[in-house]
Amino acid sequence: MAIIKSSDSGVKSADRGAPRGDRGDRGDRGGRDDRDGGFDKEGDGGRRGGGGGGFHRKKVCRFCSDQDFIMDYKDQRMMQSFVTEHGKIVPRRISGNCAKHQRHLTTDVKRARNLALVGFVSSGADYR
Amino acid sequence: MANETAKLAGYETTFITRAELSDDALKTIQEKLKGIVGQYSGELVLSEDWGKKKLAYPIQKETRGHYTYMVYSGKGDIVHEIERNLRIQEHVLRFLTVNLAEEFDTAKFQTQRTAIQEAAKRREAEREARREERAAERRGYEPKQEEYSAGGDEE
Repeated sequence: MAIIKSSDSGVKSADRGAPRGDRGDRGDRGGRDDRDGGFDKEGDGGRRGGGGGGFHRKKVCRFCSDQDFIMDYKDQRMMQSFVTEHGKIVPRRISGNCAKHQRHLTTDVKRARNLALVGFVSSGADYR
Repeated sequence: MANETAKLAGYETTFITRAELSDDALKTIQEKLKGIVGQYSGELVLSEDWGKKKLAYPIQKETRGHYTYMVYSGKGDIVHEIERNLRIQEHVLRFLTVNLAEEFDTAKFQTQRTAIQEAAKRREAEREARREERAAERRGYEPKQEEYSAGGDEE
């Protein structure tokens, strides 16, 4: 989105002069954009499927979409659903949480860890 | 705003005691904390017993603990005093205090709490419904169809 906006402003400034240079800029941006897109495909893998027949599913923040889903560090089951089996907090790009809720979630998971409701990050070795 | 005593800060404290600790001993701890809340002109809004739970990791070589959760209001150093008392107790494994509000409103807290509980109940019901649905599906078509979803997530 930001790229489109900046090119719009470029058009406005082009009225004053130097239209060629502006076009050149835009071309550059386009090129960079393409490269970014390619990198994303590689990085995410699962999103575009990489030709493997997977499909893109838009992730929505569960806390935003569902009013009943209220964050609470005391809710063990909820906290565990945002933590991997090794105890790592699931990143935003996987869980689909929005920035705000992910921020609150990290503090809540850390509180839950203090109360031994959720484990700290471990290599997977069991203590028993 | 007129009278200063109306608005106190609200806190919630959860503490874990050893699972072997007798109920009476736990009760005395709770009573003591209650007394402290009274001393600091606060109000014990809620005291909840979560019972014995398995700990996610051992604390002081204990793998199980007894959780107690309480919500209270109070002025000034109430948290300091409560945590000092918890620290003295040998059988308290862990405690955590969270500041709920600088100006605590008991009625507001209660309504929020019921809202959260209802939401949790609704979610529980939904989960139950989904589980039953899945169980019904499994009964429906016997052949396993779970193979193909594995490839997409890994990489």
